[in-house]
Amino acid sequence: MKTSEAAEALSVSPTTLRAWEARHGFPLPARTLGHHRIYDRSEILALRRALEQGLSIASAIEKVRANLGIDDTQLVAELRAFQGEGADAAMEAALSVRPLDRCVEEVLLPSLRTVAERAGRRGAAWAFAAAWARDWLRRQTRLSPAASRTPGLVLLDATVDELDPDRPALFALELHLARAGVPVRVLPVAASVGVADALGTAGPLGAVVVAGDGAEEVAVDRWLAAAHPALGQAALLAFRASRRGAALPEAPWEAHRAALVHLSRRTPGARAFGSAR
Amino acid sequence: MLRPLAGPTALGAAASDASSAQATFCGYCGAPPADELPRVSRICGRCEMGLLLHADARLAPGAGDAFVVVDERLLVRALSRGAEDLLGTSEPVAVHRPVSELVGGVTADGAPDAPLGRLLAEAAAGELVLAETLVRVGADPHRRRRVLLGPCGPPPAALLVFAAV
Repeated sequence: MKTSEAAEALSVSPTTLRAWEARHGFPLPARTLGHHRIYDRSEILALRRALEQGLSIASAIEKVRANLGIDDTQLVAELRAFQGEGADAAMEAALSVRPLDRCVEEVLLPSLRTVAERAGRRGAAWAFAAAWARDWLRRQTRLSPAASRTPGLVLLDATVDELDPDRPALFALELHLARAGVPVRVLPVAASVGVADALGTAGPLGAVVVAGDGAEEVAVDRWLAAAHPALGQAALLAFRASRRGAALPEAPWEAHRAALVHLSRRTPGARAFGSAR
Repeated sequence: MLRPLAGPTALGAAASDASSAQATFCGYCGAPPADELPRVSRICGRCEMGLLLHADARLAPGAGDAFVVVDERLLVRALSRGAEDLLGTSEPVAVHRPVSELVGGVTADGAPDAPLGRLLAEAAAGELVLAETLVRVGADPHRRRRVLLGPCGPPPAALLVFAAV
């Protein structure tokens, strides 16, 4: 459904639909190639029914999520109880009715956000959830088909540490790109020594994505300078980072789509990396 | 500490009583319905961020008031904008959490007062018309507010309205 159709079905304005998306993470539309929102008709109709019987927008959305198998309540509960196997089972349940990319965007990342908000960034529950999410996402990445595209992409990890709230989004972006066949390498910003040699043997490079806003600017500069001989025509992109470079959308799925567009533009003769800074 | 304002009468049974007239309000902004045709989904025509609910007119909040809607399992089902400010949380985070994480019954000197949960359960079941009590706000027993509570809906739930300071 187009935005106007979904809004009419729910008796709200298109602006409100976008406000619900920002506030509740639902309904979460897909995007056309022209970046227009496309809503799942079954989700909109289920939400309409739930609203007729609900006490609040939030509780109606929660009910729809549960009925559609995108119940992040279970995952949140398992993570807050330090139950890794239970969290695995919650994701398996979500995967039984939704493709992986939507499970990540609609269940995993919202659940992690909830845990982080409730536990606090230094909370033990968040530490457990962040570690579990890293393992789960990277396991899915390892199960992705072999890379089939060129050029490749470097995700430069500029998050503060394992407890940085942006870290799961970084691994989610890695997963989406890997599933699209892009050769992705996640490198920490602190590891700059010998990076040009390593990248020089890793095949054509189309983009460097600086991911996260936690590292010091000087550390990013040091890494980029060290890697410069191997960067060639690569584009400089920013994901959840306020630094220079073309900004990618905050949602990993949307960011991966935007990154694919940048990679497709990396043709011989394109602007050199240094001039893009 | 507890001061029932009316007997344990179901709201529906007392509907003919002039003192228990019903009022309609938005479960998020607290405002009465906008003057327009009713929406199929009961969404507030003013803020579009809450659903229209009914409660005893003596209990029903006004625009901007802080209030919480709780189901029979004592889980938060709605949180007003005013309550978000008062409690330092947001509705999407608070919904489905036990109300005891947000408020608890206390006595005037800050000691825990257990009946709040029972009162809310009775209100959600329509067995209590209206009551007034003190609650702690958040985890701090010294941060207390007077509240009114009673039934609301649909579907049946309990409404807890913080009195203005």
